[in-house]
Amino acid sequence: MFGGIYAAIALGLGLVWGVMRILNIGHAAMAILGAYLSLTLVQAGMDPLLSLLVTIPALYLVGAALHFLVVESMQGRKEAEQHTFLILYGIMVAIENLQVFFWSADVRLISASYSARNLNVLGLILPVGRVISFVMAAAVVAVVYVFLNQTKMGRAVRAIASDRDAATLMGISVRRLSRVAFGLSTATAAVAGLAIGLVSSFFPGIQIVWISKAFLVVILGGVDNILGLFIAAVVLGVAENVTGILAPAYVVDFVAYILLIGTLMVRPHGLMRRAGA
Amino acid sequence: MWRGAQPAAALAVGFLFLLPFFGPQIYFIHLLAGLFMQVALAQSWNLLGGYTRYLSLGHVTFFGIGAYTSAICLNDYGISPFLTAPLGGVIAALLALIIGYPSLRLRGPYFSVTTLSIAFLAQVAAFNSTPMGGGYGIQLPSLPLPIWQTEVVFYFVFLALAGIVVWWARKMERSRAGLALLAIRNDEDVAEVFGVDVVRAKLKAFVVSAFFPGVVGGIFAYQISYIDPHSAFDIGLSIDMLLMTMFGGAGRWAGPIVGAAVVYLLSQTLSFIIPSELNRVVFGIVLVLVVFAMPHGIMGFADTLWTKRAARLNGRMAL
Repeated sequence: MFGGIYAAIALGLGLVWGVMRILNIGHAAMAILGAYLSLTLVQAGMDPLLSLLVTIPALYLVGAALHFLVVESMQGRKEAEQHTFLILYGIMVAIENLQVFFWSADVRLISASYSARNLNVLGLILPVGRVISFVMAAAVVAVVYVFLNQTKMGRAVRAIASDRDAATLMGISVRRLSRVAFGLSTATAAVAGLAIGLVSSFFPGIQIVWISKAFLVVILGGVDNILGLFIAAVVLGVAENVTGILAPAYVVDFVAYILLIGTLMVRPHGLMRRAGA
Repeated sequence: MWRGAQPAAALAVGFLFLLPFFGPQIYFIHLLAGLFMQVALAQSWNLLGGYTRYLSLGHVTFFGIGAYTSAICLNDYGISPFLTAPLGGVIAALLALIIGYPSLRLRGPYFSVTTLSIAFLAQVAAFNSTPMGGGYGIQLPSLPLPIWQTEVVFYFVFLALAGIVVWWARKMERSRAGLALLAIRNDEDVAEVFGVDVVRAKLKAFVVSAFFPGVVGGIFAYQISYIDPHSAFDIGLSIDMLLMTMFGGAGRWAGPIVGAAVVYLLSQTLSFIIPSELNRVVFGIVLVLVVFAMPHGIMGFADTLWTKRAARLNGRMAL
């Protein structure tokens, strides 16, 4: 079930990476920020799913602004990649501690009226919160998949990912579409954040766990391969579940890291990446 | 360039050595000891991150290993951390060798994320390890001295450590090894073509840059006499090392000294004025602004000013 969340959070990371060759280390912090925004709205009496109507546009704006202020102004610098990475890291630190300031460091969980109920599907007992979270995550992956493959704008974004210069020559406004892609990436983080909040506890600083796992999924699944990403996410979720049954709980935390470090050592550019890409 | 800097530096060091004998307030001794520790840590980070731009986000791992090594040696075997701190350094260096060999093949953000994951893994491991006290941490006996003398001892130890690391960085900067690292920073592929053994050079830099935080961590554990996974493997410490070095000027031996002094004293002052959570927010924003405005740090900024002034003076003389 966690596989869906991994997919949702890795999706935004992979999108920005694929299109702009930028690793947004603050991506998971955005997701947790989304979770906190949802939490506040839920506490004010809103349904968790309705809160997405607020958090998705809000985080889209944050992402687009970030691209406008940071990424675009760094372009042309000799060490643009490192400087952008450092700035995004600084922003992650700032977001994390703003969360502590506004929401305190307490461990939180988003609960809806129906999250305690169970669903009986063909003899399988499933908690409703988990099902909603999985469906939500799968839906956002599907939406982005359709956007990238079926719309003109999405195809243009993919064109940028495969060859920036050629895309410019074809009359695509690379700067504007990159901004859209960055905003879209942080908007998916809003969904991922709510999905996290519904099934698992969160607190400022937890983003390190999620970003490592999202990173692993992107490495395993491939940057420009949404289907591969989804499969990799589900594989990770299942691997963790199996370890959880076989070994003490804290070993589960190690699974993703060991997979991540192991994969990077064997295939530094990912398992499903095309040769030469 | 920088005429008169050397005598001034010698004077500053002499002053710092004599300072405790003038009997200043205990707070200042403690504050300066903390500053020296930060200088040593930032300079260690600089040895790899500054000279090669392999930005490690997990250097706190080595610090934590040093802290736990000396804590365990003192509590279980009764050996003073002043003797076992180098052992912590050696263990940290060994770990760097093991993780460095595969991970240094990764470039840019790949390397950074891997080191960040390792730091987190180390913290989780510490939480779940019984000999390391788990989440409860380890309590250490403090030095059998009055508090003022204790603080002075640590003042001198940290001053010496900072001195050694700075000396090492300065020596390395002017050596063949230093040149090799700068070549890697400029263009790793070109460096390799020109006969630099890049793997060896990076690995050596990583191991040395892990050794010193291990030693510092060992002494730090003794100074605060209580460590737990939160304090010994605090990810924030990794950020501080990076921030101070970038702030002062990465890839030059004087950079981390200037950066540590400014950032540490700033954060100490800020902690009087604003709540501690906002303190870290300011830190993050400062990092962002530094990269925007002064990509080469204060030292790089000062260089530019100096060159401009020199050009102006030369112009006047020519007239």
